[in-house]
Amino acid sequence: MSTSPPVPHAKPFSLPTGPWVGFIAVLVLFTALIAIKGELGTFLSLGNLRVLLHEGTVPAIVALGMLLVLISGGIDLSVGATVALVTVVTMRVYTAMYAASGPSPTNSLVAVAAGVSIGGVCGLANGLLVTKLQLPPFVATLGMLGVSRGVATWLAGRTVLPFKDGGTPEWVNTVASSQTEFTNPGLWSLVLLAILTAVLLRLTVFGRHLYAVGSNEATARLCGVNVTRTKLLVYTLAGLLTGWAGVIMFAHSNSGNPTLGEQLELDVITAVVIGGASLSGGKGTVVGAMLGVLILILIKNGVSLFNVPVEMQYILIGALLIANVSLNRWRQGKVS
Amino acid sequence: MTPRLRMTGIRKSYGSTAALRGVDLELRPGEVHAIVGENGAGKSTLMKVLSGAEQPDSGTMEFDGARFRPPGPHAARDRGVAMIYQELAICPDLTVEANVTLGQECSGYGFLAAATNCERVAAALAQLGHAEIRPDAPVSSLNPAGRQVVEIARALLSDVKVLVLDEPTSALAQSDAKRLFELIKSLKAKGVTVVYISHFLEELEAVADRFTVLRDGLAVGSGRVGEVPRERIVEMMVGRAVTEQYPRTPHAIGAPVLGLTEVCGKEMPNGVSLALRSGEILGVAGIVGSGRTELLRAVYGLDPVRAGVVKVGVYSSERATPADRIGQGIGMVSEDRKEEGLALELSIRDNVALSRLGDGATFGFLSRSRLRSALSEVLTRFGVKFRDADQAVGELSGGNQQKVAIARLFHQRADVLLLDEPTKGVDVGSKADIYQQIGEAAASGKAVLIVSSYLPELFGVCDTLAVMCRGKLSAVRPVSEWTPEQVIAVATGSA
Repeated sequence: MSTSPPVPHAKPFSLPTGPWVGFIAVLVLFTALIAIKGELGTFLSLGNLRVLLHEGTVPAIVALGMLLVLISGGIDLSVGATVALVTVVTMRVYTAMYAASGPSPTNSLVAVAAGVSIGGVCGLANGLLVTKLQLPPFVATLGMLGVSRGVATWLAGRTVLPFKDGGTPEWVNTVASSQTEFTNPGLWSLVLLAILTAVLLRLTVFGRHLYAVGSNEATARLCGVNVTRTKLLVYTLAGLLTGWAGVIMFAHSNSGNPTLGEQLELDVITAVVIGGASLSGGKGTVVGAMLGVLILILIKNGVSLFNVPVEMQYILIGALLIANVSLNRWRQGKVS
Repeated sequence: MTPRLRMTGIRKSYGSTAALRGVDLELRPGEVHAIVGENGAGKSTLMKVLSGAEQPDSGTMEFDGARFRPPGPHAARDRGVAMIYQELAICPDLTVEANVTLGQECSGYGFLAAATNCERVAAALAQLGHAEIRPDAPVSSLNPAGRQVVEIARALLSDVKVLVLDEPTSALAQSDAKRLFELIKSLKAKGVTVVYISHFLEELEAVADRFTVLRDGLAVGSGRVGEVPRERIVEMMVGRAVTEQYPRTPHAIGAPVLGLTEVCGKEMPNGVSLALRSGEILGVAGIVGSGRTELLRAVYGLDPVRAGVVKVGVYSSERATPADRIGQGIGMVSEDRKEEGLALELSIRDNVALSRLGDGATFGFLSRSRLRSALSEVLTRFGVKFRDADQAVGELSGGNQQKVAIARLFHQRADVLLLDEPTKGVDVGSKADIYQQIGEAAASGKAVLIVSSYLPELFGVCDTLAVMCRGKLSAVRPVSEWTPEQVIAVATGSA
């Protein structure tokens, strides 16, 4: 008797994958519901689309970093607190420079650089805790969540730091405005970063190693992949992306605010997992993660437009997450 | 002839236990060299030293006459020494191409050279005679044999000179094993030295040129395969003359305790009927994938029974959970010790007691002392070698782990024992202990159903034998009415 061939038959066609199904479902549901109420025009208006993209920018950039970390088999719970810390540090540096030398473009450049770097430092710290102290990523980043939030609150003196009157730089206003969203540099930075992340994952050796480490760390090590360096790099990269997201947040909120980004980590993890990534690593794509963020923002926006109570928003997001992952599981079960 | 690789006086200790106590080994170019020995004899450690996964405490290695001391597996691979582990090292989420090239990707400025990589992989697979495996297929779609080929292709890509295979057939069906042997021969023809670790002496005769026997961290003998009789090799492995490989305890067969009528599972089994009587040891032969494991799982309630009746003693039911079956007196040992059979991080005590914790408890609170006394008897009977019962079961050797897994059924006081490959990856000494316990269980009136891919074992231990093929079970006949040739003919569907 011959045994089963090592290769199964090629799939005749491929069904749309999880995130697309969820996206289409949410879109159809909302369009239907809103059409019944006769508010379809508002929901699909250009203005509303602008708001959607505007609100999605920060979580989407954070989601890119989270995607990288999840693919490597880790998790980063500290992103929300890091975003808050970045806004505070950026504001502190900006106001200090402004006080010392008056209005100057250098102020903004240095402040933004400081903000992004502090994000990178937080990421590096996560990476060192995970690789050198061998802490589980959940514990390491949960600890960093507390530390970052605490440092942010301390640096801000337990208040919200505003710009000194008239000291708001022009670019902050530009980024903060959703009226001209399609030319918003914040949004275009997201597009650029998303493309770069996709290229990193698909075309580079580092991206390949990321999937390998997340899929089977022991095998990756055996095959000569520098697992420690890969992990250090991925947490640092995620930190830098979160740092950039923090700078956008700083502009959006026009302040350094230590209470920003609370539960952002949960939103972002939800979005990336809806987008097909797995908490056990080795899976995930940029397109999926971005769709996940879009679905999340769509639900939030749609629910407030539709005038349903806010609790529905939580229930919908939770149900969608569970339904989506179940669907993926069920489909995988059918394949194998 | 100058040796390809020479190991001299290799020593390695873990804490106070010496795994290797000065081993000498010589490998020639283009030979298949078998390493045999009981579990714990030091085979794995020696090969880990060779492949750079472990550093020896002392001793030297020479590769083609030059000093060889790889600081890690990658360094060893760069020199042309690669090892294929028993638990295959595969990234299940990646494609075949990504798995084969992992750690040795062709790239420029950090970017993958996709086309070149695919060509290299396709060439390596073709060279191995497996051109049907597509480089872009997800590796999770391959069966174990296919995954093994992927790993060998990985070694081939790095221009392997010495390839170490650690029990490569343990996960393979017979026909796949045959293809592997052909592959080994073709590697040998290319001048690759293959080190072959196995428990199956028949395999050595089929594939190896020379052999070295390890025992207690020492190389106790070596020679040319075919020149030394098998009994002598077994003697060297065990360190004493094994007069009878299959100890038998006289036992009488009684009334039926387990009856299956036309039992069908999800896909397999497909209409299986049999009657197992108390005091009977019934063997089920067949190739991997013939539905033997699925049969046991269906009987035990792990997989649904689609049609047919399972009758256990007085109970007759269509639906049952494993908990129901345990209550009815059935116990099962899984073929997959690491994933299913044992909770490796839990203690020996917890592992043995798991299926009958109730006896050691009062109102749900466990009594440690009561459990301890109940367990020590079972563990001693099986001759499990352990420090103390609180030790994690994962720290034991394979043979001792398996004894713990089987001892659970005895603690559970099961009347019907379903044993799936009970001696898989187990050393000769532990095997004898396990056979002894199976025999004594039958003598005390228990019924035993053994699934095994190792024919001599089935012939040595069982009273009756049936063969499974494509989900169907042949008639059950006394062992004396079967010949190994007949069994293989039925198993391969050519009877």
